[in-house]
Amino acid sequence: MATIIKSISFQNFYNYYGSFNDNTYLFKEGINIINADNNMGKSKFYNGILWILKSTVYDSDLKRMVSANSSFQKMASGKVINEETNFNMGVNITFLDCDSKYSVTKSVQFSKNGNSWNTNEKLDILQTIENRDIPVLDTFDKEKIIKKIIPTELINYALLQGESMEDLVDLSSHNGLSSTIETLAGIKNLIEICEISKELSQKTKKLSNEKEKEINSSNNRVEELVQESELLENRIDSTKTQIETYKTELSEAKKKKDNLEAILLNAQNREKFRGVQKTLQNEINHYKEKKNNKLKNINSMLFSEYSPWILMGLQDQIMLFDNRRQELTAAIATQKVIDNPIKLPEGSPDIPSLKRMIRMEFCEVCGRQAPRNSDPWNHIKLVMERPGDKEKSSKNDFGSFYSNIQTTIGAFSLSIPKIAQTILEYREKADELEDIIIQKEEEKENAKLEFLNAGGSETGSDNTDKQNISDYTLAEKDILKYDELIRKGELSLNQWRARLKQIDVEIKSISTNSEIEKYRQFKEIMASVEYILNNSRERIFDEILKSLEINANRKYGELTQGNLSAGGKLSFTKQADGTVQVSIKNVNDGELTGLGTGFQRMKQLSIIMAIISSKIGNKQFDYPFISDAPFSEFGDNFINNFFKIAPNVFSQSIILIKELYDPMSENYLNDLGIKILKKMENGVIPGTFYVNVIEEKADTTNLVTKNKCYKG
Amino acid sequence: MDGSQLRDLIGQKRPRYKEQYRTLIESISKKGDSSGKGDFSSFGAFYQTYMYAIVIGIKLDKQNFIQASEKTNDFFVFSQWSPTSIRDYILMMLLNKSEDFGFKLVELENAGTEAIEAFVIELIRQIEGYANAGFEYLQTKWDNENMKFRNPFVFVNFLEELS
Repeated sequence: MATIIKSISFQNFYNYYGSFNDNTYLFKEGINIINADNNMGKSKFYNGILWILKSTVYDSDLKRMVSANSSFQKMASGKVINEETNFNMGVNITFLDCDSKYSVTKSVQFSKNGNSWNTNEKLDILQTIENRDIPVLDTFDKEKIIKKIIPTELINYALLQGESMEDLVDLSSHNGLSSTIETLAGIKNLIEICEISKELSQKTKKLSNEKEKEINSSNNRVEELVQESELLENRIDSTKTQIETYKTELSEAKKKKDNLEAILLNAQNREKFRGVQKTLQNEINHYKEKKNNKLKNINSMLFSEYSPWILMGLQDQIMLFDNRRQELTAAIATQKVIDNPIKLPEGSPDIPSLKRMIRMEFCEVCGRQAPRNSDPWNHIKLVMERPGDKEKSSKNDFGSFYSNIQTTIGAFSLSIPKIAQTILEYREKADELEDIIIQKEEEKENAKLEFLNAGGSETGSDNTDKQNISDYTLAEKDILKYDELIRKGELSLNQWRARLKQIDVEIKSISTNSEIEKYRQFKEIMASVEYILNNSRERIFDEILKSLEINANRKYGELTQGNLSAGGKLSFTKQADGTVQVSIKNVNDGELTGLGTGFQRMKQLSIIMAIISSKIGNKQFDYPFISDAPFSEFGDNFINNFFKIAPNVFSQSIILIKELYDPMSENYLNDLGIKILKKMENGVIPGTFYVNVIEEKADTTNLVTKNKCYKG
Repeated sequence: MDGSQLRDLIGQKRPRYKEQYRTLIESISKKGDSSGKGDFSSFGAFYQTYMYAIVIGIKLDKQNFIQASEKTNDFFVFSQWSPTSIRDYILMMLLNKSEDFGFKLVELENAGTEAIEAFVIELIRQIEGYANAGFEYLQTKWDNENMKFRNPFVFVNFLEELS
């Protein structure tokens, strides 16, 4: 029965903030899709599996695999690091294998110590037997159980990352190919027998030679020939070893040349995207400066001369002050009237004269009677009792003080009512700048990805390309050098082998002793055994290669079915150095060039499927196939075909993909995603369908990924 | 006494703030730097912070008078506060309230020098009352909602909250 992963859970692992329960994916047989946009946890998910199986993780900053225990702090959720001083980070995989259920948990306990963190890694495994969870304590047993998920020798084919697929299916590597074929054919025993037969053959040769010398001790010629034979055997052995070394070096040089070729071919793209990145960075700097200036200016706006935001909503005060001033002016005017009555003309009667006129009841001014209490009498009395003259009506005059204030603040009566609207517009402008910066950052990130996809290096300078050209020339020279050394070595081997045959013939003609004949026969039999076994090994190797070619082409045909451009035919050619070159041929058996990265990657995927099919015959693959972003260069047709044929090859696959994602759609699915989900809901494609979402916009340190299960 | 003499009299006063708000004022003011750099949003000169606090106090319609026993610090002389238009606006708002603190403008016109001195002292006391009420409000925000001060719009936000 196949191994089936039932669930994968995360606790405070990268974006997966929170408990295991918060971050659980339940899986089934068939295809399990996790659809997520960039930065939504696909590679982090994949890293969780790598940590459990290989104790490594892919460091996206360094662009290479690193040991997990050197990267714990990066693996922990940024949010939990900011919030807690003691917490656990972990990954849990539960799986079924031959009716046994296992739960594997790798975790790290974090505790803060000053400015640094103490970490303690743990591996806990539970085996469920008759509904009881029994802890597995023995380290060796734990290792064995982890290998049940995916055996070490199959990890390269069952666990792959789209971008590094080429490295995983390493048919161009001498050792890589040998180990692949050995794994596929299960010929480890045969290889061991070959080694034993070689050893036995050498021993019988030695024995035979010693007997020749012993029996023909008086014959100098035989002794000379035996000595020459021993010398040649030694030379053959050391040359064979040397040729093996040359083959490995040749294989390395070829690999280096291929890698550099790809890098150099992309130099133009690198230059383009290097420029795009620089331009975008300049634009980002410009907008950041603009935004910073705007934000820095806010507090100046509070105290602006013409429209100070600090006075927002206080415009009524101006009217109030104006009213106060008018009231004050009116009050001062009234007081003046009271304080300054009518002044009498020059020559008017003085107070004693007026007193006399009142007493005499006679007006001396007009010469008429003025009886007591009559109108003329009362008038004379009023004039007499009028208040005395004052120098001034008030002590102070603050009019200019109030007037100056009113002049200074006068313009504000028009500007203050507009402040609220000005602030709103200011905020909108700042938000607009922030949006532009985010958009430019995204564009720059995309340009960076294109740059890296074109072989660019984050740490490398512009001089890296020059170094690559020099390395490429060196690799080409190495290839020529090792080809020549191998050719010369094999030529020598052939000459020496021919000479050995001559020596054998000559010795036989000189010495005809019947006793030595037994040893000679024994030596020849062992040499034949060695030859037959090695030949078998070669034949099996060739057969497997042929089978791989047939299988890979079948899968390649299925994967490229319906594509408008013909993808050609995969051709496996064994090279002199023992490696296999896989090329794509056109209908006339010529090399098909100019195919896009999608086709190239499909070629690799076909070979992986072929390798897996070759291993398992017509059955399904017994282990989960887990892949991160394998489709980044594929079109819809390729993706559709993959989902159609994958369930026939893999009993369970877990696919982390972004090509079904649409951030603008309500359910985050594009048309292809909706189609595939429907097929899953209708049972056409078996499995589960998850979508990762980011509920709250945040920078990478506070990013929290949640999953939505569309088909469980 | 004329208007310019009254202005001079007010202008030479140094309004005070309570010592308990010194740390806050230093945190949200940057002497000689009006750029608002740093982790927290901040004003330029101290007197701008003081004017902001007065406006907050007026908007709250609340005063926090300095008690005789309280430790205080003197501020920059009133005449040197700038922008002068905002300083005068604050003065105008206080004059609008003069009857509330016992002084009719018309009576000031007839008042003697001692009475005018008393008015100016009360006017400054009123300014201090509003400013320290503003600082009290900002101190509470600083203590309880400190993260808000990382927002460049923080001081605008507070004004809007009180509008």
